[in-house]
Amino acid sequence: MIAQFKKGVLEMAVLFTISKKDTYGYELMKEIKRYFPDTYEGTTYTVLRRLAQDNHVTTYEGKTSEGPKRKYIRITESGVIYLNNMISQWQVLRDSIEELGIQ
Amino acid sequence: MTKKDFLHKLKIELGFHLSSQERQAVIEDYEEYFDSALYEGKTEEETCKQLGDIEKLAKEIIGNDNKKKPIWIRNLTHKINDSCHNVYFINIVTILPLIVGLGLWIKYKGWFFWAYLLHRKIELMYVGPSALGNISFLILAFISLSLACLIWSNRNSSLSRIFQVPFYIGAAVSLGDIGRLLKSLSEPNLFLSSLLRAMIPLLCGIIISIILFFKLTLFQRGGSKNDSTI
Repeated sequence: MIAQFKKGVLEMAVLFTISKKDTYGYELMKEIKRYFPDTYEGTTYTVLRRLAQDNHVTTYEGKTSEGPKRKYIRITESGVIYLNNMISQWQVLRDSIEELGIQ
Repeated sequence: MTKKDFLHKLKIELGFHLSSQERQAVIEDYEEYFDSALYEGKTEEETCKQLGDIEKLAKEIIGNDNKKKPIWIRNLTHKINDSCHNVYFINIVTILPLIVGLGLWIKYKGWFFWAYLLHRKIELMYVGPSALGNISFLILAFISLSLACLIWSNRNSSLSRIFQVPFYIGAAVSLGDIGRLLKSLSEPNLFLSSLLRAMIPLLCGIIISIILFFKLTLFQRGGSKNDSTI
């Protein structure tokens, strides 16, 4: 996929995945990889770190009885606003493209 | 490649560009990734392959997080932040005394470095009270120590920055020789030819460094060609 396309879309996908359910790094990577198979893990982590920097997501230590120590990621209020904004922009974009004739 | 290797290499690749806190956060992320993958039954080898080329990974991390600040501010802050972790900082710390020490030593003795070394080889073997009392001996020890530190600090460096060493040595020798030449300023003709001669070690150093650089980089980067997208 064209890199410019994906940069923005990936951010939306990552944030959306986190908004559905609190998750941890590895699980998120797997989820993203399922829908975007040619995504590089490094890119997803970078997107995640940028979201954390902008306070759209926060992390907390997970309490699991089994398995390794995990840092869970949760969406913040500003993250929800940002995501909704992004989704509505995406819908506008999609409508414009469809109107243009690209299906 | 093992998890430990991977994280270590990543840390070194990031070294110069991120502060130690930022770098620690990145390393922790990948540590966790490894732990989760291993918990699922994947091997360390597989996980490394999954994560792809370290250099590209590092570029990705550095590129996206740090484009805003001008490079010299970034470099300066990271140099201060990272003092003892940063390879470049260690280089500066060890090279400055190396050059100053070597220059001083040569100026003090008024001898060309290796000529003097050969000349007094036998004397230096006996570390008696008289030799210890000799300032030049102490400076020489100091220089050796700096050089050892320099080599040691470069031992794990991804690009083997060791290629710079011949250049520094050459530069130091030339510097010392030029310092000595300043005395003969009164005879311009002699001074010019001597100056040219003093430049020879520097030139040799540069040439050896260039050769080493190409040898090391070609050797290092020739192998991996597995490209992942973005």
